[in-house]
Amino acid sequence: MIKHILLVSFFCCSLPAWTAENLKVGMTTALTGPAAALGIDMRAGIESYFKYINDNGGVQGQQLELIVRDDGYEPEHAALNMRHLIEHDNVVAVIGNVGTPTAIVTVPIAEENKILLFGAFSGGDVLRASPTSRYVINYRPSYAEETTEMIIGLLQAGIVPTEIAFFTQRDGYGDAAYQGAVNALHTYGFNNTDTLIHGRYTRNTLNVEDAVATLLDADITPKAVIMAGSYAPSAKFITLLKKELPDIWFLNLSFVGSTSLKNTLAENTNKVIVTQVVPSLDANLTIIDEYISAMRELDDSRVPNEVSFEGFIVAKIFHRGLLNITGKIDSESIIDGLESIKGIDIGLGWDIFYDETEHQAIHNLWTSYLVLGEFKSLDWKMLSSTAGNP
Amino acid sequence: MFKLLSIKNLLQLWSLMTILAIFSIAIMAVYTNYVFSETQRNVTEKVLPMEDASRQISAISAAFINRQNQIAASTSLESINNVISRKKLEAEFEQHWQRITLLLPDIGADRKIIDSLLDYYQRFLQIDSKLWDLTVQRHIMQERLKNRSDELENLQAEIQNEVEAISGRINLAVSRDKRVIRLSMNDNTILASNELVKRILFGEQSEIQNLAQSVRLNVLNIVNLTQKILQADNTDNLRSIRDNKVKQHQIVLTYDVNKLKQKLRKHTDLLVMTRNLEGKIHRLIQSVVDDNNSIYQLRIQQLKNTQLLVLEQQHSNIVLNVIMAKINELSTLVSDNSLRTVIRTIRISENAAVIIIMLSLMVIFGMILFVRGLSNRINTPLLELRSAVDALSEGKFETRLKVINGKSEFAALAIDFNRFAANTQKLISDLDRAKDELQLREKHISTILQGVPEAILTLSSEGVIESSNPMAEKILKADESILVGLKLTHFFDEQQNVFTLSDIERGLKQSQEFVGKDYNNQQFSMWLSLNRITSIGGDVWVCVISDISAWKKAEKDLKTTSSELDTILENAMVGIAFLKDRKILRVNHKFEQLFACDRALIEGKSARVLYPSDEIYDQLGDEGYAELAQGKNYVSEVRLVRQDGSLFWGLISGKANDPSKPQDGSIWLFEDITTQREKDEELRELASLDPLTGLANRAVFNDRLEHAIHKAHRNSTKLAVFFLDLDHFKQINDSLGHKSGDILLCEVADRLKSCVREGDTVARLGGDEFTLILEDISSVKYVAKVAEKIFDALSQLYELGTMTVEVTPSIGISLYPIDGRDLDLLLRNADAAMYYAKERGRNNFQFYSAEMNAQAAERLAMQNSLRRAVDNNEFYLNFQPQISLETGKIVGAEALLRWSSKEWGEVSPADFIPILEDIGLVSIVGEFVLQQACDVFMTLKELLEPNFLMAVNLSGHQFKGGQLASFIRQLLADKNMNATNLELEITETVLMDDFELAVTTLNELSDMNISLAIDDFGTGYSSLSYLKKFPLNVLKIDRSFIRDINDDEDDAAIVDAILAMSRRLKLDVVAEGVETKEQLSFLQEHGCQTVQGYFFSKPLDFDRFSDFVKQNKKYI
Repeated sequence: MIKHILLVSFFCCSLPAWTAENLKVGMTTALTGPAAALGIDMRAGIESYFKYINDNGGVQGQQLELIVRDDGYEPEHAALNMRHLIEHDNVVAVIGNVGTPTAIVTVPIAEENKILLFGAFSGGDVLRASPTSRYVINYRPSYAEETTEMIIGLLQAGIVPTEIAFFTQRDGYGDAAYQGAVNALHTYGFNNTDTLIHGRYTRNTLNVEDAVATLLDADITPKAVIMAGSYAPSAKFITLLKKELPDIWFLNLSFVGSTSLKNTLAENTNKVIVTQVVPSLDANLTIIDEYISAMRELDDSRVPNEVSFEGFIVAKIFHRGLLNITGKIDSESIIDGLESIKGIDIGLGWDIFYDETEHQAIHNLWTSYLVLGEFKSLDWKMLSSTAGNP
Repeated sequence: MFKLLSIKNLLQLWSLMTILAIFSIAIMAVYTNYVFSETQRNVTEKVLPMEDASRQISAISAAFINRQNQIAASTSLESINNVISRKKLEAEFEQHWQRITLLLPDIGADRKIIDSLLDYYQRFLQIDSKLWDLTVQRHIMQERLKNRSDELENLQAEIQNEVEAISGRINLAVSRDKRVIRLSMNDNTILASNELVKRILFGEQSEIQNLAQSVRLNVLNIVNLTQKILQADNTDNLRSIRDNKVKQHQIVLTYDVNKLKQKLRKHTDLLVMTRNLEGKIHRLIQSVVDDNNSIYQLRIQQLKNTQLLVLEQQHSNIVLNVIMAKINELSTLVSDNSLRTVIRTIRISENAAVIIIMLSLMVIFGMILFVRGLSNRINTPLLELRSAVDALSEGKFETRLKVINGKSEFAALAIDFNRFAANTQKLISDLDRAKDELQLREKHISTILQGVPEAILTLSSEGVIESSNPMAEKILKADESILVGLKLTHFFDEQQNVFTLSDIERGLKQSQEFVGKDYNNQQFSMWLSLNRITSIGGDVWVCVISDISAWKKAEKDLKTTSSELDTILENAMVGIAFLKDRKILRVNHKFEQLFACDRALIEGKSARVLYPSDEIYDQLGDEGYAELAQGKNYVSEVRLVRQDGSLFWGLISGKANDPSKPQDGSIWLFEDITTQREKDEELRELASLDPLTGLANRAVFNDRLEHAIHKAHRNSTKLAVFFLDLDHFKQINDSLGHKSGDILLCEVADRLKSCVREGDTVARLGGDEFTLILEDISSVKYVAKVAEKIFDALSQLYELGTMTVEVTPSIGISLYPIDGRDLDLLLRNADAAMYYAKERGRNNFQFYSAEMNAQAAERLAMQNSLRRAVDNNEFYLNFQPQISLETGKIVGAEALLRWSSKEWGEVSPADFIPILEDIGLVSIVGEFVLQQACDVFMTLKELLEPNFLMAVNLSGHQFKGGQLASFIRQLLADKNMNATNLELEITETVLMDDFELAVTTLNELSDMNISLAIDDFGTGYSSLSYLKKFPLNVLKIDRSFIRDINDDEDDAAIVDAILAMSRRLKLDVVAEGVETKEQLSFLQEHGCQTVQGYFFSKPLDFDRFSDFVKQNKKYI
């Protein structure tokens, strides 16, 4: 009896301290610099869903708190942020980081500290190691998957490999995208990939002139450019090249952020394609309604876009993982919770599946193209009809 | 005393004393009570609070120490504000201090402690403020540095961005034009394309690109140097980085940017960008070195701050220690003080009790004494009088009564009695004394008569003997019974014709000597005196007779001997002098010659005239007479002076006549040994002095050092040994000639002598090696001071005829006894210290330390091994293949020197090559390498590509002497090897060290068609524009850049830039240290021609290298 009283009193004492503590989730992303739009939107998407959960009582009585640190899309800062989040802020997981070069440094830190790195906004291979890393779990498909989709589409549309050019960022992201496309071309029997035209630019700059010059110097005028860059230099590249070669198709990886790209380009720019890892916002899906209303709750002035939408989806999957936890919430239990998600449709129209070796939620892509200032679903055949091939 | 007073007076005195005693007992009791309560009050009001206050002050001091530790440990401005507040501590200190000063005023003499404690406390507060300020300053500086570094990084990124933007725009413009041309060629509109080709950008694209690359490279270098500035830990380093390295890059940058501006002057937008770029570069350099807030300045301030901080911390520790000690003293003082107060109280009360008891006892004792005194007062005088009268009547005349001054009637009686007794006594004693005197005189006379050696006879007036003394029996050979009755004349020889007393009296007028005969008729020489004594009973004659026969004989003998000696003396070959009390009594003829004197003048003078100075005279006196006193012969060589004033060396020897009194007489022999002496001296001088400089030579130095060590050991003093040589003396000797070298050495010797004390030894061991002994040194500081003095003196300019040269010394110092207790060790350690000084860049001095010895020993051992290595064929070559990235084949090899030592095993070239350079073997070994490399090439020639390059490293030393080119020409001719197959690798440093020589030699080599390569490119100045002055063919990129080429963007950018620039300068590039496929891909992609590294092969010995060549594989 006495023992019970003691136990009860012990819990009475410790309970208030326990509940007052928020469940801290970290994020290091670009809030400044050329990739800032991505980071800001990703944060907004995650916060909108967290707000929705917190307004409805939180998780196990705890409020979710997102601690965001700006890394300006620079690996050095990302590493410092990551350590600060883990060592000083005591976060249980790091969620929705933006960028591949930053991931190259954040992944080893996460593994070293056994902290979950979830739903990073990057298709880089570093986040998709083989064998699967326990501490890295993704939502989106890889860049290789995106470029493979592009190569298949272009070849289907009758464009030959020698007419495909590349514009990539000179770093891990650009390498991943380019290598993905080269591998896909090898698969389709084109081995002479060394001759492909490849213009590059330095991260966090707008110095794309060299790359434009490379394409202009090419002996065979390219018909399509696969682009792995952030939106600002990509937009500049498109604008400069369009002046000389108005008929080229510009195929952008999802990382570019289609809305930011659209806003940066001149009005009525056409022939711009973006592979998306989220459904088009005009699709008829329940999750889109949830997303739009959550965003409105968070900040009325924000225009919904595919980046904050991805943030919203990442946060929602994260929450589903938390719901599977019965005991104490920490990095290990969250990973176990996420790995228990087997075939759930959270409203995307596709089932999400995780296990110990499968740490990527979907392998599906939604390809869109810019027409009259809007992104619409794309049919690859359209390229052959508008390209004006003989 | 009571006896003087009347009985009434005594009674009055008694009552007064009793009242006084009681009164003092009362006072004592009251005082004791007062003291006791006062002490109690003192303890509670003063002592306890005072102890408390001093404890509190200790605690506050501890808190201050804590505070300082916290300040020192603080890492940021934030954390320094969290340290213990000083105001609070000060307030507490003030409060407790007030208490102490209020409580302590009566301590008086110990006030000094209080005052000095307060003084130290004030000082401590000042230091504390300084420490605080300095630490705050440190943090501010750290933050500013961090901000500046961040700014700089941003700026660098902006500049790189800007450069990229400019070059991108140019490329784009050109590409556009090219495209238009391509399209127009299809349309046959040639005119338009011609127009385009004329555009400036078109033609100068590649040059502008190169300029842009150069800008990027130099900006990167400056940013890298910033890291070095941040790491540099002394201002000299900092300054050297700024003045040499940063400035170098800045100059190149300014040049490049101006060139860019000039090229782009017609393109407004690009010109604006370039100006922008220029501004940023300016800002970059400003923030690195130029403005007041630059990283350079901040770093300098930070270094100063650190220095100050360390000093203040030390100061603070010292002051704190003093304060703690003072507080201890204060506590001791306070507790002593309180203890003393308590003890005093206890003692006072104890004393009071004792005093009270004593006073009571005294009152009782006084009463008893008084009663006894009163009864005695009457009885005693009567009894005394009676016994005195009894004694007198028994004949004791010395009896007296005691007389007491006073009015008592007993006193008057006593005086009368005494006067009577005294008169009687005097009368009787006078009588006795007269009788005694008479008896005594009679006894004296008879004793004299018995004892004298003469015969004494009394004669009647007729000359008949009446009595004789005992001696008369011996002289006259008959006893008194026979003598009495004989006549005195009976004892005169007949020939004297003496028959009566009057005959005798007559004879006495001539002489007292007579020929006498004894009773047995034996003759003897007689000495006689005769006197008449007139008395009442008739005249009596007294005759005294002595036998002087023996004395007469001795006198005769002496006369004979003396004349023999005189002859010997006068004719002796040495000067002889007899001295007494150091005065010349007599000299001989030779002496007169020796001293050029006249004996008449010199005899009687003091011996001082023989010596040139008082000092020698005194010394000789002290030493000589001490010897003589022991009965020994004294021999010495001394300077003597002739009477004409000239000096000569004399050998003197003396002996005392009587060793117990040498002063009373001694004989001295003098010899002139000047000639002999001069010969000896000359011989000794010749052996002991260095003929060139007149300094002591090695033998003398060793001897003196040995002596000095003995002396130091005996007196427990210290000494220092300097080992000194002149830096680069050999060059001076070689270039200016031996004569100049000799003049220089003499001048050095003079300057050295001027730097040391009179008694210190300066020696030259040979060549330019000098040694010094400083004896009886007070401190190491003094030795260092002398070393500095020598250093300054020797470093002044030397005038050698028309030339002026500057020479600096390297000095090694060892100290007795800590660095060694014997000659060899001291000298060896001083030598080791000098060697160390040389290693430390010459031109300094070093004290010996044990660790040096170990280093020096190892180095020495390695030097010896290396000297033997050439003869023992311990050197051999390895070859590392160089692969062409175009053909994938082996196109060259670098020959690398290896040493397999018997004693040391395989030694790294990094360890042994500097030693080879030191001991001057590098040229010989270098020639060996060249020969071997050529041999290997010729052996394998058939298997190698026709334009194969055998690369050999050259050391800077090989350039010296200017014989390199001719040696190689001869070598190639001997080996029949084509010059185009030889490549020579030189580092940038070699080129910079001796520009003239390098240019000449390299031009000669280049004219022979030998390929020339710059080794380790990128680690030095990396100034290509500078390198253009040399006829170079190949750049070898240093392995450090290749290593991180895939991970480090900066390294990648540098390699890229080097490759781009070498294309412009038409130089081939060899990348060293290629180890991975990724590195290879990068280099391939960026147009590098040749690579070398473990990826293909490590360095191989000859056999493996031939195998490698034979495979003739394509590696790519």
